[in-house]
This record gives sequence, structure tokens and C-alpha cells, in this order.
Amino acid sequence: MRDITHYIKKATDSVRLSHAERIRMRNVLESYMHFNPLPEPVTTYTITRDWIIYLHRPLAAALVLVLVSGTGISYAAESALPGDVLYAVKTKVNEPVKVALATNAEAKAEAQMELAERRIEEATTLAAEGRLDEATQESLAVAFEAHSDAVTKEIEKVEVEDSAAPIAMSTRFETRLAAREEILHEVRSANEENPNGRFAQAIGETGRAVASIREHAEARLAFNEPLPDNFATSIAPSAAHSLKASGAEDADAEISLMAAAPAEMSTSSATTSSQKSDSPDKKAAERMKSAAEKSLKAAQKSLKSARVLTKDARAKAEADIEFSEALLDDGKALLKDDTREGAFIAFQESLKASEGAQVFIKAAPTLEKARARSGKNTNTNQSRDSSQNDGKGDDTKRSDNSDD
Amino acid sequence: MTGPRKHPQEAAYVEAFETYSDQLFRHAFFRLSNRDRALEIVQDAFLKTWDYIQGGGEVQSFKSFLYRVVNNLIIDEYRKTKQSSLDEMLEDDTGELERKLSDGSVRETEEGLDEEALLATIRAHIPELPDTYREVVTMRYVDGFTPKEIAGMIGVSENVVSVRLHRGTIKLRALCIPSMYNTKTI
Repeated sequence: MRDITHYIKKATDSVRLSHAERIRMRNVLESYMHFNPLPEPVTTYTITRDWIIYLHRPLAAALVLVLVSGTGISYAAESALPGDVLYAVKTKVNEPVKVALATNAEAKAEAQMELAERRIEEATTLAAEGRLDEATQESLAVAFEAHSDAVTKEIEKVEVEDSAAPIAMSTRFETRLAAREEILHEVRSANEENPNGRFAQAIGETGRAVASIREHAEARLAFNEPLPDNFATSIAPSAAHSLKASGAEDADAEISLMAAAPAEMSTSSATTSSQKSDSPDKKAAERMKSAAEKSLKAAQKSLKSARVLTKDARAKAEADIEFSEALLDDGKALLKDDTREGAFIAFQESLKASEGAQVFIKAAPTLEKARARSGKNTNTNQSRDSSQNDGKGDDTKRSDNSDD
Repeated sequence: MTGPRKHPQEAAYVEAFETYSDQLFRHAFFRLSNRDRALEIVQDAFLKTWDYIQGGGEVQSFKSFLYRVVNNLIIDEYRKTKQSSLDEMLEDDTGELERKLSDGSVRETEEGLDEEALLATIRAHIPELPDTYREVVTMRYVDGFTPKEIAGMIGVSENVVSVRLHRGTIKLRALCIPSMYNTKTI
């Protein structure tokens, strides 16, 4: 028989990317290329691949539009939805500019986070109006994934400089994703559509990825003082709160639990507090505190300026904010007693509550719209829009229409 | 119709994805014996290459550039995880070797190998080669690079490549058909 080397090529030739793997990878690269465009070339060059031309044609058109008509279009485009004429301006001009203007990793993560959330928001709005079709859902999900990837990449860059910053950022993102997922789920359910579609999966996956980044960062952040045994049990219920849209009822009970915590803390930590001054864990707690304060302020502001909230929605948002305030106070008391890890966790939970409240306040009108629609549909038996979506199934493979 | 003005490397990059993604994936797959990691590494290599172009770098040959990036990523991967374990397991440990082989792949050796079975056996055993050998064997016989090209990519002399290739193929043969370990044919 011949030498083995003769057969190796033959033996390995069958290993290749599957069709779906290839499409998926190409999608990722396309988004990446799109958000990180190359500089304008010095010489002209014709290209042959259709998908690349497709990728940049709207960009060029949008640029021309903006140059011709100034910032008005750009501003008007901000509220455009997929399918609208100005949507390309929004995603191909306004948003890349926003990202480009961010100077450091934290600001970039922040910008990408906002864009990732926007994609969910758009999907939710469309779903509430009964206009979220398969193709739109797919393209929004792909864009969402690209932004989310960018967020996680930027968060990982921040890490070196500041140990608490990545935890604060991933906590925020994780919370906001969970809250938005919840709302999208409810909107789609109200429409009698499959709530566990492609987009819900994408959000779920991203949520898990972000959670693992957060856990890693948390594991690295070592606190000096041991936590009292009863602390974990007293603070744990607030984690279960997790800002689900329905969590408001439990808030009171948790607030009282938390209020009890600081008193217990103070005795155990008094002994060790003298040896620490500006250690990293103190900085971390301070950092989480300012993140929580900032977020609480933002939540309060958005509640104040929210014009169209139903009574129930307002009550729920107020409860969330109150909960966040209570946690923040707990954290401050713990920090005073030098129970830094306890303070850190309290601030982190406060941050979660405020972030959840912000998302809820913003999305409440959409949620109402969907509920109203579903009520109308069932009452008058005119469920035309939702019946269009029936039976299509949201889980159709992504490779179906994206092959070229 | 003329498209918008493009950076000259952009079309070449897209072309490179179409042309080399399968081969790069195959290479990574046999080096890592993990489909998911291989996919991630290939994607990562393309992203890094884009970063390089975007940062003003110019890629002369996408093929060797991409292979180099993939190879570096695989080496990183090994450093992170299991660098020595495979080597230790296989280095001159014929007992271990024998035991591994007794569970399935040897049956054919007695009555002469049917080609399909041989190919399957080879596929199964490439990932068991120590990575020093797997690197060059994959590049030479799976990807079809010359020893000289391999030497350039992994930063050793051509002689070293040839020696590793020789030892690697002997080892692979030994893995596939232990009873013929010392004979010239398989």
C-alpha cells in the first residue's frame, strides 16, 4: 500500500464549513466590516462581489442625503423603524457616527449598548404594531448581535484599568436585556405570536454571555473582609427580583429585608475597618455607588418626563425606583461601616432596579399599545395581523433567506 | 454600473473569505479537534485581518497571512489549555498507544485495509498527534503548503520542518496501524 501521506488529503477533504456556519460567519464579518469601514482609497477600484455593494449602497445614499439637507434628516431619522425610508440614515449614518465619537472603551461600550437596545426596541415596536415579519426580525437580530459583540469586546478592554467598571457595565447591560426581553415576550404573546422567536434567542444568548463576563469580573474582585453568614441570605431575595416586569409586588418585602441588613453588618465589620483606607475594594464599592446613583437619577428623570403612562405602569415604576433608593441607602450605610462587599452588592442591586425601571418606563407605552391591540383583536374577532403571522413559526433557520 | 469607491483590499478580503474559509476551518479543526473552537478561531482570524487592513496594513497574500493568524490563535489556544498533556500522553508511550488503538480502528489491519476505513482512521487519529507534528502535517498534507512555506509561517528552518514532517507521519502511521509500526508501508 502507498505511503500514508498520500491519503491524508483525501481523508480530510470532507471537513468543511456547513452551509449555515458559512452564512453565519459571513453575516458576522459583514456587520463587522460595516461598522469598521476602511478609509477611502486613493485610487478607484471596481469590485465584483454583490453583497459588498449591497452593504454600502445605502450608506452612500444616506450620506448624500445628509450632505444635501443638513442635520434635519439625520434628526428625523432617529425615530425611523425598519422599512421606513429614513431607517438607513439612522443605522448607517447616525449610529456609526455616535460610535465613532466615543473616545474610550467605556464610552464605546455605552454607545454600542444603546444601539443593541435600540434594535430590540424596534423589534418590540414593530411587534406591537403587528408588523414584525421574519426577514425584519432576522436582520434586526443580526444587527443586535453585532452591537452586543462590540459591547462585550469593549467591556473586556476596560477591565485592566478599573475592576468595578466592567461589573457595573455588564450588570447594567444584563439587566436591561432581561427587562427588554421580558417586554418583547409580553408584546409578542399579546399578539398571539410565538414569543420565543429568533430574536428572543439572540437576547437570551447575549444575556448569558454578558453574565459570564460579569461573573468573571466579580470573581477577580477580591474583598478583604469576610461577609457575615446571614448576609447572603438577607440580600439574595433581591436578586430573585431581577426586574421582571411583574416584580413590583415583592418589592416591599425586600426593602424591609434590606433595611434590616445594615444593623447586622455594623458589628461584625467594626473590628477590621481601621486597617483599610483606599484599597481597591473600597474604590470598587465607590465606583459601583456612583454608577447606582447615576442610574437612579436617570430613572427618576425619565419617570418625571414620561407623559403617557397608565396608572398601573406609573405605580410599578415608582415602586422600582423606591426599591432602588432603599438599596442605595443600605449600600451607603454598609460602606460607612466598611462592609465593602455588602455595600458593593447593595449598590449593584440598586443599579439593577434603576436600570429595570428605566427600561420599563420607556417601553410601557409600547406594551400598552400591544395590549390594546390584542384586546381589540379578541373582542372584534378581527385578528388579521396576528393571523398573518400564525403558522409561520419564528424559528425558521437563518440560512433560509440569507444565502446569495 | 460603477459601485462606490472601495478600498482595494476590501474586495480581496471578501474574495479571501470565499476562497479560504473552508481550508482554514479544516486546518483549525484538525489542530484543535473541536468544531466550535475551530469556527471561532477562523472567524477571529478574519476579524483580526480586517482590523489589520483598517489600521492601514496591506496584505500581500491573504492565504499565508490568514494561515499565520490562525496558527497564532491556535498556539494561544494551546497555551491556554492543554499544551503538554497530548504530547506527554503520546510521546514514546507505546502502551498507551496500543490501548487507544485496541478499541476499534485496528480491525481492518489483518485482512488489508479498505480505503474508506483507512481514510476514516486517518481522520480520527490526526487530532491525536502532538501539536508540534500536527501543525506541520496539517499544513503540508491537508493544506498543501511546501516545507519552505511552512518554515516561513511558523518561524523555523526548512530542515526542522522536514524532520517534524518525517516524524509526524511515522507517528500518524503508528497511530493508525500499530502492528505495522516498523514497516515501510501501511
